[in-house]
Amino acid sequence: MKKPGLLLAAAVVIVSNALVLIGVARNRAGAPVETIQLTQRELPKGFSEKEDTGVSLRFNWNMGLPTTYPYSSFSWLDQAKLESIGFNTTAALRDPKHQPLPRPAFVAFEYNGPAWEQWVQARKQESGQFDPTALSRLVPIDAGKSAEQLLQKYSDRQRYLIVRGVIRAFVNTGKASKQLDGSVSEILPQNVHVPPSLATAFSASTYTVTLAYGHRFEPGVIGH
Amino acid sequence: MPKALARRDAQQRADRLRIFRGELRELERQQVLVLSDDQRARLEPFLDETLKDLAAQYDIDTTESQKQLSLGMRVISALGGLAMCAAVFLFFYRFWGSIPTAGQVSILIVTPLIGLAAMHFVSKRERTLYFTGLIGLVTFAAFVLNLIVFGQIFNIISSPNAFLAWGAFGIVLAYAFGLRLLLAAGLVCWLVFIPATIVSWTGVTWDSFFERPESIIVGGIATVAASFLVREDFSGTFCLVGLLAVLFPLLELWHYGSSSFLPLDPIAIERSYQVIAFIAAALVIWFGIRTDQRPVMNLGAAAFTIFLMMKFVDWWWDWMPKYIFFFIVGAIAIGLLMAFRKLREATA
Repeated sequence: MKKPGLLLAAAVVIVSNALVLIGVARNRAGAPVETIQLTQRELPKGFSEKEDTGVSLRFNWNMGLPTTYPYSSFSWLDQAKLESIGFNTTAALRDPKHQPLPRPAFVAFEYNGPAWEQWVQARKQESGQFDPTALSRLVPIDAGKSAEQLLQKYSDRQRYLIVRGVIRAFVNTGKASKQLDGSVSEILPQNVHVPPSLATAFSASTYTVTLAYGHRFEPGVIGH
Repeated sequence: MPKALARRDAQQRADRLRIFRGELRELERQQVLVLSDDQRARLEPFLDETLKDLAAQYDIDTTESQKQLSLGMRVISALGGLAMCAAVFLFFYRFWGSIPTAGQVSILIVTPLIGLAAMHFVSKRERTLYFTGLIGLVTFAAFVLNLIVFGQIFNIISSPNAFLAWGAFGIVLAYAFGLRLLLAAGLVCWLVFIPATIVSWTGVTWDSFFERPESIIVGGIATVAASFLVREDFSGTFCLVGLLAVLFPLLELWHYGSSSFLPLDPIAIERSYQVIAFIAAALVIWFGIRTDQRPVMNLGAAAFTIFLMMKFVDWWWDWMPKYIFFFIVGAIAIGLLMAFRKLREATA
């Protein structure tokens, strides 16, 4: 049993690695689906242990929500949008004690565009002195089940970024009538690994990052 | 017959012979049974030879002190394996930033394969498999690291499929060498894969299975059912891991009825699962007694006690003076002890 078992275990290792590498190759095959240049504001360096010598960047995005009460939800992530993503809004509103589980979706982010400008203006009106220069200019503006529709709708590849993400829905019982609110809770993957050959460029406090997304919407750092 | 099973049978025979020898001495001391010199001259060498043969063939323990040492060696082997796993993880993280991507990929793929070769090499040179078990744990950790770091290097979106591969790897190695710790690790991985896959079929994110504990119970029941089909020396591990996967989710549903799949009032769900939890714990105790599996019975008893304590806290903690609360808990513990004693006598 030992020898066949060992060979089978080795086969598990080899097949698993082969499947992962085939997936990586498929993601990177041909031209990238989208390429965008961001900065340390949108992709700051990720947290790493003292002994971790790898470099990774962490997605930082701006919710585009008010910073003071009353907080409002993502206005574009309304009931119809949540239904289109797959949430059973009728069941969720009928039974608010059972919160719906998060669903994967594609999320469209606007980079340094009108949504960001509006948000900055609103904050300046709220608090007078407001310095936005260190904040992320990535603001979520739309979501959908398929990437193709979002890629067509937001075709300016330097202004919009379509990524995989996670959408959560909550029944808001604090209003006059029960309402289903949604939020973008995660970008997938949340961290982007920097290849060792490019890692030195990210030791400075300010930097730019060129990200390329492949066919499976898995990103890669291709320049700085 | 698997080698681990043969070794266990040999150990049981050696234990019986050792007990027989001790009991014979006691009978002779009490003058109940006294062997003639001729009988003694034939018996003592037979016992010595049989124990020596068993020890030589299976490397078993022939004295109580050897048994204690073996237990210590098993604990050290497990702890050493875990420490070596941590070393592999931290070593890689310490140096991987200075290794080009192709080098990282090669190291990650080759490390578990080297571990397999080392297991083969070491297992040929030992019968107790302490070192093989230790290397097995490190090899398992290396394969886990392999897929996790691949995910990080290539920014792959996570899926439950890695747990399928890790589970298969652990279980195959466990069967090849008779290593129960690797079997438990493999089963735990599959107990993540099964509920994660079930919930992802409903269109939600795979890692939200923690929010629907019933999906874990399905895998737990399947694992307990599988314990009747697997080889004898592994059935206990299957059973224990499966039962843990049933009892822990019950504990969560006890408190959070809203995390159930059932579209009912969360309070009603919590109360139903509280009843189910007590019935499940009692069934586990019964099953442990029926199949003569002491760890299973202990698990059931521990679960029953925890459930009972939680219910008492729910009922009485807020309004009852604390000294009365603990007095009642103590009195109930005594009552339980008496009940278990009766049960023990009934099953004797």
